[in-house]
Amino acid sequence: MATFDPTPYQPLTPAMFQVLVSLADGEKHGYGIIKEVARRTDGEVRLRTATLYTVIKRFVDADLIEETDERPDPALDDERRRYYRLTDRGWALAEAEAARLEEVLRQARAHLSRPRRA
Amino acid sequence: MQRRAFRWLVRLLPEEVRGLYAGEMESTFELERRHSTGRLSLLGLWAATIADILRTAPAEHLDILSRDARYALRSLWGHRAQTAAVVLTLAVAIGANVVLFAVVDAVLLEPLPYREPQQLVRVGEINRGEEPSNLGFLTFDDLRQRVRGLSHLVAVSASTATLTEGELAAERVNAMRVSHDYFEMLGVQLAHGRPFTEQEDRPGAARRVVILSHELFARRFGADPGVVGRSIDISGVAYQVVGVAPPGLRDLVAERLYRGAQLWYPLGYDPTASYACRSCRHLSVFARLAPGFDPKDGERELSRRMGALEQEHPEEYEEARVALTSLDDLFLGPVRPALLVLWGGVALLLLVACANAANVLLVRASEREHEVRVRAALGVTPVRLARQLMTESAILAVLAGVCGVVPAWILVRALAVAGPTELPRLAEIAVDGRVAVAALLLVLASSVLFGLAPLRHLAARTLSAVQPAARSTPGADTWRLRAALMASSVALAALLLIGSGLLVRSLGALLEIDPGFDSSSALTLQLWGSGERFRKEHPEEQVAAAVAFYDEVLDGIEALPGVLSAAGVSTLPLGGGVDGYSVHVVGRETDDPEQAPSADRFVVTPHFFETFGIPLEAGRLLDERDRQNGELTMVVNRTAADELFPGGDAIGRQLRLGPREADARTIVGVVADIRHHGLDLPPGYQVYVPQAQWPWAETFLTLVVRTEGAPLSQVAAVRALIRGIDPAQPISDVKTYEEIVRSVTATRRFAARLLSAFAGCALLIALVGLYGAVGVYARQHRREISLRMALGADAASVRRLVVRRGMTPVLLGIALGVAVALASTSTLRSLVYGVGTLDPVVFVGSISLLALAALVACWIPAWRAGRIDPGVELKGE
Repeated sequence: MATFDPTPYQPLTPAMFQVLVSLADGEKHGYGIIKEVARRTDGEVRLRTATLYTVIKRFVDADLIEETDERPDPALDDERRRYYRLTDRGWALAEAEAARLEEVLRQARAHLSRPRRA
Repeated sequence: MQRRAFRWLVRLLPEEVRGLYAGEMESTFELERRHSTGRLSLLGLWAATIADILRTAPAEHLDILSRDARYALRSLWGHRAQTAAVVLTLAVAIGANVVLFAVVDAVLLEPLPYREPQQLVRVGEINRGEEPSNLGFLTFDDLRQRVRGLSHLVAVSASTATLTEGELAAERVNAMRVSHDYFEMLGVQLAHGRPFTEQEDRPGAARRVVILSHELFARRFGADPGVVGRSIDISGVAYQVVGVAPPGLRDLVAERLYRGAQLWYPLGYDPTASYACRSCRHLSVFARLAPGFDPKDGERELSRRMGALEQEHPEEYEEARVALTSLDDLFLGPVRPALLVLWGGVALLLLVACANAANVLLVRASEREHEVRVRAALGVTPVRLARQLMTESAILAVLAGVCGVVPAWILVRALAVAGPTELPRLAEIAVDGRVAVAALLLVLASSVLFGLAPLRHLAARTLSAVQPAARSTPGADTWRLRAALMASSVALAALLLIGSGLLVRSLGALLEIDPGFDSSSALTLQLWGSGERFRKEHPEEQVAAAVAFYDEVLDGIEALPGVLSAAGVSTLPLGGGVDGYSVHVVGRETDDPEQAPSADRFVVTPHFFETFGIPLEAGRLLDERDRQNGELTMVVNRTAADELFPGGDAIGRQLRLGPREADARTIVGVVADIRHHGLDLPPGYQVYVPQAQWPWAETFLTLVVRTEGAPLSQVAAVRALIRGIDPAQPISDVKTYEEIVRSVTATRRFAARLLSAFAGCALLIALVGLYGAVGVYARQHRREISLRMALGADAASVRRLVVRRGMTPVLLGIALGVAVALASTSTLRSLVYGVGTLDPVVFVGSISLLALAALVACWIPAWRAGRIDPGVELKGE
């Protein structure tokens, strides 16, 4: 893979970032992503279908996530449902965004730890 | 139910998202629903989902639009020449449409500026089935007192006023004499003061009163409302100002029938005066129909009363009835056909431009087939492609709209200031909100019109599989569609060419008409004699004073170096004024009332016929011999002489003008006919009376000065001379006679010029389109042409092939255009003069011009095709 420069995609919206992070531990379908995001953020970020799928479409178009061919037993699954996983570019972008947020946080903390002016 | 509602909501999202994920979204939403516990939680899910879709959908649509727009702009920039051609041709058509709509809207569509204008009518008197005429005062007075169904019946006549008030120089202004309820009839509220009272409209009213126009009030009286109630000096007589008209009042009655009005006097007619007689038909009469009465009811009611009047005064009327003309028809009727034809003309021009744009885009579409197929194979849906193409068409239309509307706006402003004055409500023409909306609709409609053809073509292509297209030639259906578009633009151009040809030919025919007098090298000016020198007790003394004054002025002018002759006349031929009098042949008054028709009466000074160059045909001309107290004499025109005296013995016979008891006048000469009411209207009876012998002083005359050199070079000398004789006498309307005669044909000239410009544009656009399409055809068929040449075809046969390809739709288009023209040129009847609406010269000329120009447009690409070197072209095979 040619060196991927994530900066044109940054900063990500909270919804976009959460979608990428939710796929870090394995492929998921849309509802799975919604559940995962809600679980990890204690229900603070609740993705809705329209937002989720416009994000998915953009990530698929940009080759940040991809549809997987593997599906569970079709008998147990809704055939309309598709599963998504991170691509290498997606991993790189998620890591870059996490690092960016970390840096933002670090700078904010450093700033706030100074003695308060009277 | 819930599933259906969700599907409906998802439709708000762009097809790009919906097409790929609708099923999945539904499945996800079902899972969310299933996991919602309780009704409240379900309601919360629905509310959040609806809000989410309503927030996401517009943002996504905008995002796609901006991407499409960027893509379209890149693509249009990549084909700059084609883009410029389409934008410019469309801009011309859209601009022309905006201008015409602004004109039509202001002149025809906006209601007249009066309260309930549909209730306002002009009343015309008809005798013996002739054209409606003005009314005599006694007829008007009878109708006013006895007819029901009318809210108001008012009479008006033209007048003038010389303002000698205050420090300012004497100024002559146009005025009108009107019935006391004139403003009430129009529904116009005065800005200051009050309307006239009924008492003020009676003869010998103790006070003389006037109402000022707002313009005069502002200009001459500093817009001081204190002028109301004050006395002002008009021609040396004190008049009290009782009211001021509102600012911006468009008195179309004054503007269209007379020369406008700056102040109004009450009519104040004395019913016993000789000029108030029933056959002295010189008053324009207007009415406001009572609510619930339509013009037909009013016509019936008034005609019934006219019948009764005829029984009471059988010698004054014959088969008398009344015709009502709505003010709308009266003022706008004369220009309506021309404007509607022009409107149709620009609509055709827009269609030609759209057909041309469609053709250019179709060529582009056929060149982009491969790209489109690849994009379709990559999953770009047909709807998405259509959206992209429509964005491109819309951008083209918007660019064309901007390029067209800006010059149109400038043109509209110029037209409002310098358009043909025959156009009513000229000053009201403007690009306002309605015109802006019309322009926007035009842009949208044209983008749809020319965007559809390439869209249909490309949509069909996306359905077929991806094929190597590098060497393929476009299919026959593409050419058929393009040929159909070419044929349509040629047909529309043919229609416009034929229409404008007819107008130009009639204008030519009209300009060839000899008006019967010589308008070249002649200066005209109006002189209104007023003041102390004309204020005499007896009419005879007033006449003598007027004659003395004009003799002195005219003798002085004739003595100026460079002046050949000079004369005065009460109504300038072709000058727009009308002065009709009944003519009674002495000795035949009662035998045959048919012999008492109306004649145009001209009061003239000596040397009138010499100055106007009207040839004498029998007897003698009027001259100094025709004195005030001598034998009453007159000169008549050829038509009057021939028809009133079929035996050819007009000289020495006598006529009475006006009332039957008027003094008899002896005909001393017969002169040639002149055109007075219009170049296209045949001359009626014309009678010329010496100024010295008319019973009332004619103090307002139009002077005509025949000069050796340029007429306007004498203006200063003539002004100085008149000022030297009497500085209080104002001069106005200084023009060359040629200018006046030219203005008679202004509306036709305007229509002919504009329609010719539209036809020229349409022809040019159609030819450019044809040239482009045939060129592309030849380019796309290079391989086929090379093969033919390699197999022995010579350059000439290749050229013939290409020309045939181009000329087939041209000939079809011409045939179609001619067929439509044959069926529709009758709509031009009212604008055509001297040629038939099926004039073969125009038809053959237009067809030949179009065919010849099309042949050239096809031959250039054909000539290039004939120069293809098959060796080079097929080398790569």
